[in-house]
Amino acid sequence: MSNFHTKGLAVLVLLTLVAMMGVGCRGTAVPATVTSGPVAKPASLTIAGVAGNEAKGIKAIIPEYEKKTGIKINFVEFPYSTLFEKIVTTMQAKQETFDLIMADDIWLPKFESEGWLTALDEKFNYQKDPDIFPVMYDAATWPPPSGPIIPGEENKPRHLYGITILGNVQFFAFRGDLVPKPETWEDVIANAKKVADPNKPLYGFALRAAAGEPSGMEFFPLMYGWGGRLFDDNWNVTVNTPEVIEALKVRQQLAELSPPGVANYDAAERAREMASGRAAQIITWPAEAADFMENPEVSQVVGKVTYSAPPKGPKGSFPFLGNWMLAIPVTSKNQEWAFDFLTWATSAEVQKTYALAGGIPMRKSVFTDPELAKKFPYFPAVAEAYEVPPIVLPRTPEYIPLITIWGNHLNAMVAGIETIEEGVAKAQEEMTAHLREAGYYK
Amino acid sequence: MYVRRRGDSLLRVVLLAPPLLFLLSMVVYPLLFGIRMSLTDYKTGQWNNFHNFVRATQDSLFSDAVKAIAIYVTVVIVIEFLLGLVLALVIYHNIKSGWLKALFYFLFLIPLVTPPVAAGVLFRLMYTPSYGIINYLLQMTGLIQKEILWLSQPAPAMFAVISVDVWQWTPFVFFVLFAGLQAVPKDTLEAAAVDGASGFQRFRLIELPYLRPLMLLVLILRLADTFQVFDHVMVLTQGGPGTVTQFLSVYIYKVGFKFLNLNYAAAASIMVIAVVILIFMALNRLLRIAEGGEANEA
Amino acid sequence: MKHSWKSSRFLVGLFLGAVALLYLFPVFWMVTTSLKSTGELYGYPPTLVPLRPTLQPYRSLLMEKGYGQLIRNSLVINLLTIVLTLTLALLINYPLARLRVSARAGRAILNGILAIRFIPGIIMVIPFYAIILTVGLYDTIWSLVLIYTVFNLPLAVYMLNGFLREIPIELEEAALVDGATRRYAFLAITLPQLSPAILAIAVITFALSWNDFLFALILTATPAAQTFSIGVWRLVSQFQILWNEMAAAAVIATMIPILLLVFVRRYLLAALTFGVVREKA
Repeated sequence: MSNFHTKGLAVLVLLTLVAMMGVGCRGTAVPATVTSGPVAKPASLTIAGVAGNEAKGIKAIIPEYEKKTGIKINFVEFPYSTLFEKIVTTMQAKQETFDLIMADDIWLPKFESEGWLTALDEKFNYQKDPDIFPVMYDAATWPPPSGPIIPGEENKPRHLYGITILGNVQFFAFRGDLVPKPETWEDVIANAKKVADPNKPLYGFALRAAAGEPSGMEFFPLMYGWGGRLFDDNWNVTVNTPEVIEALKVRQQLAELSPPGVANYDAAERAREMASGRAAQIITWPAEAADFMENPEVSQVVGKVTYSAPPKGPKGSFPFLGNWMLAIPVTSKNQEWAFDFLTWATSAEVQKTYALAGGIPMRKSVFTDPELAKKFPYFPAVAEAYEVPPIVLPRTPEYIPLITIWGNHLNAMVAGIETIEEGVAKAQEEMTAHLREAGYYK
Repeated sequence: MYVRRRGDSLLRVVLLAPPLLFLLSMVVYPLLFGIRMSLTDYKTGQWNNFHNFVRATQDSLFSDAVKAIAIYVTVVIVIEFLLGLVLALVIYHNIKSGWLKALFYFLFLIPLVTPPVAAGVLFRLMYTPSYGIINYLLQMTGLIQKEILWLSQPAPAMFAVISVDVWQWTPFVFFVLFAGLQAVPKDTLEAAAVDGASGFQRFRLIELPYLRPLMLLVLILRLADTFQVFDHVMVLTQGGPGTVTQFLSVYIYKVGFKFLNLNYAAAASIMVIAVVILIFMALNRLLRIAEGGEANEA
Repeated sequence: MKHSWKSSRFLVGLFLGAVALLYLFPVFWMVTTSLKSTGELYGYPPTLVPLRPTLQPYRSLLMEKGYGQLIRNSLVINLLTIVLTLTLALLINYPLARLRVSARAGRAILNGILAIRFIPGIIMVIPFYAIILTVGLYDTIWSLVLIYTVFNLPLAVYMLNGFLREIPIELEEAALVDGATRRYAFLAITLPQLSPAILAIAVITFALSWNDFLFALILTATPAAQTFSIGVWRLVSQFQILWNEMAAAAVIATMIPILLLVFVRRYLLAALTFGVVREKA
């Protein structure tokens, strides 16, 4: 009897969905109001997710949720390089296709400022969990709790729009069997010079310096370490400054200590050098440790790599945050259940299963779990990086263009096409022109 | 000349109208939409005095991208066109066995149906220094002493992205021109051979007139498509080193879908359309002149 | 005389051999990479032939990642596109070549259609997306069939036009004089002579639709309609590239059209060896 009931409802929901899609799809956004009373259970929830090992954990826990609730989860995987534009076009057209989206945390400013996401604290009364690192909440809060706020958004009420599902953060890996733990970037260079052996070959470092975002992301710990910033609190671009140039000189030394050709190295090549034993130190991300260095199928160095928070510059250690978040589009018809899945997936109990299945977790208690640390030796270093705490990337939808422009010049410096001085001067000019165009200077 | 029948003029309309209406309905709205977008501001949607076009003239990234695509398009088209034409001629005239022809057909089909991103990845794996097969073979055979940094030096990187395009798309030229050669009446060719015309003379006097419209076709389609080159570049170099391979198409894509300024992207796209149309008209004229008296026939 | 003939044969053979080698090497590398384990791929030096060949990359794509569905979608979309493109191209061309349409109107139609191909996909995709949403075809294979037809028609129309003009009209007219219907005269007499062009158009249409990524990304949302090219792009993830699975995907992508052609090999050979013989009056 009750079974029949749910089925009937499901069919109804489906029919409505189909009808709405058929009719014209320019339906208005669902207002984010608190709904009371029981909410119909949908037949399925659709999640737009990223393809690759970033989806490993979530795919592993989905069957459990399906069994528990009877809701089918459609996890649609999109290529990492284009998930962003897929989400943007879907949201712009107010499509109801996705009940949950898995988004790189730096995409959130765009989605939040456009009003595309449901405020979790407002609509569902979400309470912050002390076991979740505060920086994760900061990264999903809009307007941002610290740093400059983009023009026109200053007066919006502050809300939480996403929960981290995959707790990526930058940290550092070095061959503990060859070099002592580098406390500072000077130590890194000294280590690198000491072990470098062109005949083996063994390189002291492997810099990720491919054009665009890869170069930009890799440079942040150095740039902040020397006190450099992309812009000041009034959005004035500040890449042509002595601090940044000083950090770039250090980076240039690291590039010279890296294998030839790093000017086209992305994460995959960098991690490969480390895993094959050809590099002694790298900046890294949890996924690289899991898929390369600690993966016995490809790694020559299992058990030889030590992990830590990034080395310090004169101003300190600066790991950067690169979380994947789950968020609920305002257009979803199944927000309550989407939220149910979200809280379930990020709960302490499920996160342990998630981590054991090879996913990168997000809870403090999971990263510091001694049982897991045995299996995943980099977990404590990730927790260490979270305690620093990590830096949240500048909260502006213009981050992507800026880092692309900046990263191209960073790449040109390593490739020898531009000198440091030329590069920063051009970048300063182009980034300023971009922000002016975007209306950041009145 | 034509055999006329009653109802032909009606038939003409009945046959032509549906496909043309289909095309119009599919193309006109998007095109007008694009033009409107190019003339408005990406934040407010208001008319902005050709700002997107003016901006392009002052944007150094845009001019870098134009330079890069100009080099790319020129080199790629010249190589693909000549190589494709020569291959079509050589295979058509020298290979008599149908099966051998089919073998070449298959060989050239492979690159054409390899997903461009997979082609990019494959060549990246081959070109990559340290563990790529190309440097390894070149070093083993003693052709080079030091590794060539294929993907991170300006000229080699340009070479690398061009090589993928040539590998993938020369077959396109080949397929079209090979089919074109098949339309050349064999008896005419044989008669010319009997009269003692050399291979080149036969090509110029008999085959070329037949191939001309198809040559225009492949040139213009390759032109339009190379202006939109994208996938394999993103995988091979991501536009680097610096902006050496950040072609206009790559830049437009980034501006439109990563920087989310579709209006500026539309303006740049319209400039591309204008350039392609200009080249098309020039080519059309050139080929007409070459055709001489035939120009007014058809 | 004889000598130069021989040496030119030799040169031709050398040229074709060199081209074949340059074309084959990447193909060889594609196949060999697709049969390597990840471990072997990450070793140095690179091995020419897999030491321990494995089918794991294929298994991963087809069994574990569900690419079968995507391949099926792509295949259906491509075949429908080819049929629709050829049909529309013939519908447009028949009147242009066989019924009295003024030369100026004909050329305007041809150039107009060709110009469609000059419009970059990036400017088309968003407005086209709006159209597809309005007519309710979002996330269906039909949205892609429509757009691919639009983009492939220019080549098809233009190429068929050239052929129709070259193919002698006399036989078809004779049939008409004998009282055959236009449809019969066209299908039975003219169409077979178009086979080289139809083959080339089908192959190129297949390739262009097979390779499109942008439209497939924006116009579909779920595996119900997503295409193989989306799946292929997925193998480049944030922190790594699945080299061997990518190579396996490329092998699959190239094997399917080849198998299709082998399947119709009789027609393929007929089309490839076809040559026009025109009786000069």
